[in-house]
Formats: sequence, structure tokens, C-alpha cells
Amino acid sequence: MLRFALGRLLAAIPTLLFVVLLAFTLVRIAPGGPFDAERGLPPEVEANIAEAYHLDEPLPKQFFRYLGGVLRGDFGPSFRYRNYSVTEIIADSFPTSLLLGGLAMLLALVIGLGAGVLAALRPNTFTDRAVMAVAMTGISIPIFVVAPLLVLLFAVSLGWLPAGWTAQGGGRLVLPVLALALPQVAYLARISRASLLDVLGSDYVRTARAQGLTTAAILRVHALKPALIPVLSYLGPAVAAVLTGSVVVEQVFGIPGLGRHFVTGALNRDYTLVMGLVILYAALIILLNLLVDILYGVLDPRVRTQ
Amino acid sequence: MSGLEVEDLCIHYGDTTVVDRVSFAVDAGQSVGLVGESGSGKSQTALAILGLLPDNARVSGAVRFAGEELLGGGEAHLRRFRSRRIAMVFQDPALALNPYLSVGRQLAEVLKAHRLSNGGPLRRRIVAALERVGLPDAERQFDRYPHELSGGMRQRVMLAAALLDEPELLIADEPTTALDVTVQAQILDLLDSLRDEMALLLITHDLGVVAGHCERMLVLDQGRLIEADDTLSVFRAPSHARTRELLDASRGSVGAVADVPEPRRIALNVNSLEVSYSLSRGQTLFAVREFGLSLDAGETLAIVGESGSGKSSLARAVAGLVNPTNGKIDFRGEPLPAGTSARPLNRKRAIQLVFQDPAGSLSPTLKVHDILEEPLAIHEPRLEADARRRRIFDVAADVGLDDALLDRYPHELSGGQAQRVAIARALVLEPDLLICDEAVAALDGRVQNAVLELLKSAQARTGLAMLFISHDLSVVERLAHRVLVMYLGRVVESGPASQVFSAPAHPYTRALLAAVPRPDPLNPGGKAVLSGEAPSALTPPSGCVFRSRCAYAEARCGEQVPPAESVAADNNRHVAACLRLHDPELNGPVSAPPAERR
Amino acid sequence: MNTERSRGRPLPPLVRSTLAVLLAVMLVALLGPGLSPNDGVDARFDRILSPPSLDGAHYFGTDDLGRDLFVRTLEGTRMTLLVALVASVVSLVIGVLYGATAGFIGGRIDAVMMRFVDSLYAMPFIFLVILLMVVFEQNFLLIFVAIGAVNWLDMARIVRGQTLSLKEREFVAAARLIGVPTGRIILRHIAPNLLGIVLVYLTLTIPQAILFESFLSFLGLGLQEPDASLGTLVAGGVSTLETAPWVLLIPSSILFILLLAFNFLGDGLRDATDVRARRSPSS
Repeated sequence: MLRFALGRLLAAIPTLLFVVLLAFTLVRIAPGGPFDAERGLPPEVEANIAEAYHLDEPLPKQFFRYLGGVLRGDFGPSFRYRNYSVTEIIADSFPTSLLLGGLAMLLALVIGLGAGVLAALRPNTFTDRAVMAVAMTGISIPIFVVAPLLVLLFAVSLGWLPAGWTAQGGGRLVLPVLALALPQVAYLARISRASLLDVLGSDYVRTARAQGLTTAAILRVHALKPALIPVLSYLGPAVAAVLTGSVVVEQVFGIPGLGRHFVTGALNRDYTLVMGLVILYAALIILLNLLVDILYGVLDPRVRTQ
Repeated sequence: MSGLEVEDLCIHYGDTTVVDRVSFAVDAGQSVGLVGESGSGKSQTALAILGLLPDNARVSGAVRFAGEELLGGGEAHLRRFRSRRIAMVFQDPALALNPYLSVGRQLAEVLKAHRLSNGGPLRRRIVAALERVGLPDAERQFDRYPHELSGGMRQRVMLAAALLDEPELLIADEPTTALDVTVQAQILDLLDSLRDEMALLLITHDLGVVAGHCERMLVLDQGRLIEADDTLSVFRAPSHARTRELLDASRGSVGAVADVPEPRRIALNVNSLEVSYSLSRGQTLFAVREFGLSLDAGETLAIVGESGSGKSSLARAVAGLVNPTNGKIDFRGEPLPAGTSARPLNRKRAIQLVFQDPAGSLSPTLKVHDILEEPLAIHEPRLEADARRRRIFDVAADVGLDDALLDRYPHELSGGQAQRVAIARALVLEPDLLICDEAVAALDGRVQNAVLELLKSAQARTGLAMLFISHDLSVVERLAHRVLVMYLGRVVESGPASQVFSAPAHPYTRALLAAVPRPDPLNPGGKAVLSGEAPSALTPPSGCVFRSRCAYAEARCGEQVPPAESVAADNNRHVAACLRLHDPELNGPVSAPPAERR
Repeated sequence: MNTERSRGRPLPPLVRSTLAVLLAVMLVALLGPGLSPNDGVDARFDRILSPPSLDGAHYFGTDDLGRDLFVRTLEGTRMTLLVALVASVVSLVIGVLYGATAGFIGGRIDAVMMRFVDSLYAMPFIFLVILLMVVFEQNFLLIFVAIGAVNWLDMARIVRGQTLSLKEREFVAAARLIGVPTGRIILRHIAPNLLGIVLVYLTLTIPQAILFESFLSFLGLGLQEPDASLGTLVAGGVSTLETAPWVLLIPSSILFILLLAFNFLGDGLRDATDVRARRSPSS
């Protein structure tokens, strides 16, 4: 298992390098530069800035200079927030997104998987239809509609919860976590229902019934493990996306998270910040997919012996 | 009477009736065969007894066991019977065992479900149960997973699980259909040996299996029970015309095999052919080794073997679908390039193949007419529309396809119709060599016979040579001029069909023939001469590939690959590859088989 | 998979009713603005944020600039649909060509091509789109080409998997034996069998594209005023959420109905054609 994990980690290095190269190329061939907003700078000053940030060097040289820095753990200074390094910006905003995303994912797992299992156990009943209707609604309401509606309902009309991040205490977490969790609940319920139904229709579950096992025992012993596999495949990329923050939720609730930097960084041509975020995101995806692969092996003996 | 009673059982799905007022009984200790073609409702009946049908099935009637009603009692009620008093094993043990759980765990869960887990250490009892069904090396199998076991071992595990609680009735739904014939004989023997302890309801499509293993038999046809009597009487004097048809089909009442036309012309010659596949981790699987054959125009050569024998690889290599790694294929005296893409168009035309899965070999988006037209469009592009039409209608008539079917899509055809289309597509090109790769294996008995008849008449009409690949000796018997027996990629015996069937020389051929169930209650065949299963083709034994299962193996068998020798000095057409071919002991009574190994 | 099973069968009722809803929405979006006496650009400060009423035919009320929301919403719907269609077709073309090529060639080239797709999966999606949009300088249609250009990955994966398995099916082997040339095998025996799965995933790609367009517009990165899409309208509604909820709720509802309908349609078609990997390739 350890050898498998190490092998996969090594295999991920070229992927990561490729992503870095692609992102670097894209952000550099896009028109505009980080200092375009500051109009009217004298040419000398512009040249000085360019020199200070090594923007006057040929692109390949810049790329390898950047890569060297990354290998030493230095993601460089932000081009936009002049007094901060990229590492500082990420360290400042990532914990908030991690907390919100982590809570949302936990909530979604509990509710989504629970509802999915419930629906699969009673297919085509009222319970099943209700769960699936809610889930279908969940994947059809965009998060930028959900978030304002939550504010309208719980903050404005009912006044139960604070609408913004400026409020103190845990209450300010509730609405953003709900907004983040809702689509995930919907997806997880749909996936877990479909996969559990599939497993429950399998020949080996029929065998277990013929052997006189109770439904609870069949679920616990025979069905849950295999039904988890499609859920795991979904979770890899989904967790990465949720943990790195949602720009919409951050904007609606005024949260200083990581998500907004993905948008503003690209818009501002903040080269170093964008590169730092791309590396963070890609590394997270790769790690989570690796984790998923390892879990496949834990769950499925056929993968283990391969 | 303390057995199973089924009364007026009906099963509906929507408007479709799959089982219609079926009544029968299985008395304590009795063995009853439930037979019928696919779709006759036999499996549905079995599943209904234990309440295992899908939710959308509507069931009515009565199912009583020892006087207690099972239908409509709910899951909790049924659990008191399931596996405690009535156990069940299913057709495909590869699917019926949970791939995610170890063998021991799956049996332990049955014990727990039956609250039998306090009767001593679980592991020891489970190993004992596995030993009881003859699972080799039971101690080690406890921790293994289903995918690490062979088909026969998996079915033994299924049986061990079924027998844990000493049921009074065992329902076996096609328990050996997914297994090789030599393994089938072992499993059926095992079922017989358990008969003192319980009654048996054996569901099968194979009348030979019923003849050898059941006292009574029930025949289902389109959901109706048309026959119920003791086996001998049914075989002697069936009361229903459909039963007679089924019996005739199983006895292979096909006309005699015609002679090969003289003068003989060699159609196909294969020399020292080798087909191998590179697998991951640098392993190489040799599917076919040092293989040779020759085939004349108008002749049918059957290649017989169990799974893993390499017979399909051989068919595909000759057809050009896989590239042989070594050897020579001559077709009508000229070397045949490997691979279809290297073959000139007229060579492709001359060699056609019919696959096992009739539906899978027809493009699902094309109508039958277009499927039959395509070969003509490729090979005779200048043919006028009228002439092309006539050719299509002619070939459809030749294979017994109704004109109305030409307008259908493959999924609108029955299995037999689809296979006729596949044969018509091959025949419309008027090939010189037709390769049939298990071409009738997916078909029911009566349809099988019709398709075999069709192949024979096509051969008589056009003089094509046929390479007929099959695992089913009773099919081969009906149309082959010559037979070639393969085991783990090598030829062990070949010769004229009549001689091989009447006087098999190689120990493997004998065991294979003995294992075939015959539809005759007085002489049912189906004897388990061999124990164990063929080793993986990845790790064949050295020397003689068969020695690990051979009762006559000696030390020298491991040192030398046996050459093919004439069975009798005056007959060089019947040959076998066995070092002890002329050893008197080999031709004496069969000694005990060696211990199973794997 | 089993697209063949459904051939010739009528569509399930759910799919048919969903199709009817979609057609109705499209029809209204196309014809509706012409039926209203108002237009969507006429800003009048005497009717800012008036609630929905028959008075003056402001069925959906007006927005914070006093523009008629009925006309703007229908025009926005039209725009959103157009955009989603263009983006989906782009992703369809790229995805099918890429996936079918990789699947049909197979071997090392397939491995490299799929490695590239995996790498793109590890890229933050939004970052790619923003950069592509910057490259195209917010040219209206090119933005959607950009969305499609990023959205093709799923389609490529699915088409590749399907092509790989079709290639191994016996009817393709049978065609090779007859001597059917490779090009004709692809056109006659493989492509028609891809059609079902591609159509199903097209219907599932459209709501994704709708969602993405509105998401970008919501962030102010998509369409620019005075052009409207459902996304820009929803974004506009958020700011007046407390005083004039209808400005948010009406376009949101239409967006929701559209997404729901497309998702139902895709689900229904998928179930009807049973687009799942075949359980056992040998059966």
C-alpha cells in the first residue's frame, strides 16, 4: 500500500509541473499586466518595477526562476497587495475557507448520505420521491440564488441569524455553511441512492437475502462498502472545490476567504498569487484523488491484489 | 408429507404473465428436476418460493413448507425458512458471492444471522463446512476473496454457505451452467452425496443433468407446467408434445453427418501456431502453443476444450482478429498474412466467423437488411440494386429468415433469429472457410439443432470448410467430421469424430466424454473422473500440461512435452499426445484421482 | 450501455412533459418581448422598483433603473439559452472529437491524451474561464466559446470510454472480418452508437453552461449592461433584496425552472437509454 501511494505521488509530479507550466503560460499570454491600473506612470518607473519583479526577463527564464522559488517554499510577493507575500495571503484566507468548507462537507455527508440511503431502501415510495425532489431542486438552484434567499429568510425576515461576517460568534457560520452544503447534499443524496440501489439489486445481495440475513445486516455487511465507491469518486474533486472557498458565498456574506482571490487574482493579472492558488488547488486535487485511490484499495480486495 | 407444496403459483410483471398456475410438490428427501427453456419461468418459480422476486413482481397462489404458508408472510416470516429450512444456490457463483468480503466472513455472517455463532469457534466450524463440500485447502480459503477462487471453488463455497444450517430442502438454480463440464460433474456428484440429508429441487435447462440426478421431473413451458412424473417415465413416454420436442432436441436428432466430398482439397493448414498475450508485470500468457491442424474443403473440424484451453484464441488468429506470435497459416495453399488489415479483400471474403453472442455481433443501429447488404457493398460494389436485393432475399431464405425480419433492428430479434442473421451475413459472401466460435452456445436446445442443421445444409450446398469451436461435446457429435481436443493451449488428441468419441485415447478426452451428461436416465453419463480444475494458463505444468490432473501421471510426464502419436499402428489419422499412450495400465480401469491441487 | 434497447420506444412521460415545459419557456422568451408595449432599455425614474402589476403591462415590475422587468427577463432568458446552447455545442464538438480520437487510437496516444485531460481537471475551472475571457476581451459570443472550451472534459472522458468499449464489441470485429474499411467502421458502426450517450450528456451539459454563464454574469464578468441574462438580472436583484424581492425572485425562478427542466430531461433520457457502463464486457 505504501509503495502504491509513493508511486502515485511520484506519478503526480509531472501532472503538477504541467499544470504549473500551463497556468504560467496562460496568465502570461493574456493581454494586460499587473500594473495596468496604475495609469500615467512614467516609462522609467514602469521599467524599474518590471526589473524589480523580473518582468523584463524572457519568459522561460522567469518560469524557471519562479519554479526555483516554489521549490524553496517561496511563492513570491503578490503583485497587487504589494506588502504581502502570496504565502501570507493564502495563510490569511485559507483557514476561513477550510473551516467553512469542512463544516459544509461534513454536514452534506451526514444529510446527503443519510437521505440517499433512506431513499434507496424505500424506492418509489413517498420518502424516495420527496428526497429526490429536494435533491433535484438542490442541484437546480444556483448557489448565488440560494445564498441571498437564505439571507432574506433567516437574516432579514426572521432575524434569527446574522447576515454578514462582521457579526461575532458562531452564528455567522451558519448561513454560509448551509449555502455551501446544499448543492453537495443534493449531489451526494443522488449518487448514494443510485449506487446503493444498484448494489441492492445485485446477485450477492439476493444471495444474502436467501441466506436469511436481515435488511440491517445486509446493509451493514454486504451493501454499504460497495455503495461507497461511486461516492468516493465524486468526493475527491468536490472536497477540493469546497475547501478552497466559493467566491459567491464569500461575496454575499462578506467573508475574507480564499475563493475571491481566484477571481480577483486572474482579473488583476496578479501573476504570483494566481500561480500560488493554482498550485494549491492542483496539489489538493491530486492529494485527494490519491486518498480516494487508497480508499478504493481498502474497500475493494480486487483493487488490492492488482 | 412434510415437504414443499406449490399450488396455483402465478407471477405477473405488469401485463406479462411469466408463471401461470403452477402446482407441484417436493417431498422430504426427494430430488426433483425443474426443466424448461430460457424464459419458461423456472428461475422465477424458484425465486418465488423464498420470496426473492423483485418488488415489481405480483405473486399469487400458495407456497407451503411443512404445512406452513410462505407467501405473503413478510420478510421476518420468510427469514425463518430462508437457509434455515430451505437453502438456495444460484447460477453464477462469480456474481452470487460478494466480491468485497472474504469467504470466511460471508459464511460467518450466515451463522450470525441464524444465531448459531455460539456453538464453538466460528473459524473452525466454517473451515469444517468448507471441507464438507470438498473445497481444497479449506483453511487457506477462509481468508481469500471470491475473485481469487476458480468457478468450481466458488460454487462449493456457495454450497457450504447453503448447508450451514442443515436445511431440509436445497433449491439449486442452474448451479453448474457457468462451469466447465468436468467441474460440473464434480459439483453434481457433491449434490448427490448430500441427498441423504435433504431434498433437492434442481433447476436446469439440461435434460442430461436431470436424467442423472433427479427421481422426479417437472417441465415448464412458457410459464405452464406441462409435465410432472418420475424421470424414467417422462423420458420413456412424455405425455406432452412439447416435452417430446425438448427430449428430441437434447438427444440431438439431427441428420447424419455427410461425407467429405472427394477429391479432397486442402482448405486450411496451420503449422506450429503460437498465440500469446503480454500482460502487466512482464507476464506472458500463452493461449495457443505449437498448434497444427489441416482442414479440407467441405469438412467440419471441431475444436473442443474447456475454458482457458485456447480454442477461441485459435479461432481469432485464423480469422485474423489477433496476430499470432509465431507459426504459419496457409489458406488454399497460400500463406495467409496475420491480421485482417494485412489480408487482401478476396482473402477476407473467403474467411468468415460467426460469434457466440448473436446480438453482440450485430450492429445495434443497423437494420437486418443493411447488415446483410454491407458485405455486398464492400465486395461487389458494382452489383446492381436489383441483383443485390435478390442476393439478400436469397441468403435470408437460405438461413430461414422471414422477409419481414429484414426491416427489424437486432434487439427486436430472438437469439436464434439473430444468430441466423449473423450466419447469413457470413454466407452472403460465399466464403470458403466458416469459423464458428461457440456459435450455438447461447441458444436453447431446439434452436441449437435448427442452427446446426442450417450450417450443415450450407456446407452441403457450397462445400465450405468449417472450423467449429465448442465446449459442448454433444453439439460437436452432431456435425463434426473430425475432432481436435485442446487443453491449456495444446492439442492432446485429434482424429475422426467417430473414432474419438467411441475410442478416446488420451486420459483427458476420456474424462471429458465421461463427464458429459446424457439425456438417458439408465445411462446418464456425467461422471466426475477428474478432480480439481485446470491450472491457470499463466502457469501451465511443465512437460505434459495435463499431468497435474492426470491419474496416470509419472515423473517423466513433467520432463517432456509428449509428441502426437498414432493411437493404432494402422491408423495415422487418430493421434494423441500422451507418453503412456500404449501403456496397458492406461487402458485398464481408472484409478483414484490424485488429490486436488491449485 | 444499451442505447439499442430504447430504439423505437416512445419517450417516457416525464421526458415528454419536461420537453413541453422547455419548449413553452423558449417560445415565450422568443415571442414575449414583442408582445409587450414596453422595451427593456427604457429607463424611467418615475417608476423605479414598482412591484408587478397589470398597470402599464409591467407584469414582473420594474428594476432599480425603472426598466420593465418582464421584457428584460424574457430577453435575459433568450440570451441565457443562446449562450448555453453555443457553449454546449462547443464542448460537444471538442469533447466528442477528442474523446473519440483517444478511444479509437488507444494505446500510448490515448494515455497521453487522457493525462492531459487529468491535468486540466486539476486546474481551477474559474481561473481558466476568466483568463480565456480576458484573451477574448469580453466579446460576447467568444465568452461562451470559452466556457465550452473549458467544459468539454466530461464529454471527452465519456465518449472515450464508450468508444473504447464499442471498439471491442463483436459487431466491430465482424465488420473488420467482412473487410469494412476503418473510416466506414467509425461512421457506420461506432458513431451511431455514440449518438445516444452524446445526446444525453448534451442535455446535462446545457444546465451546467446555463449555471456557469449566470455565475459569471453574477460576478460581473459575463454580459455587460444594458444586455441582460438571467445571471445579470439575479445579480441586480441581490442589491435590492430587502426592498424589492421580486427583482431577485422572478429571474431566479425562471433560472430555476430552466435548470430543473434540463436536469430532468437529462436524467430521464439517461434512464431511458440506460447509459451506464456495461457490467460485464463478455456477456
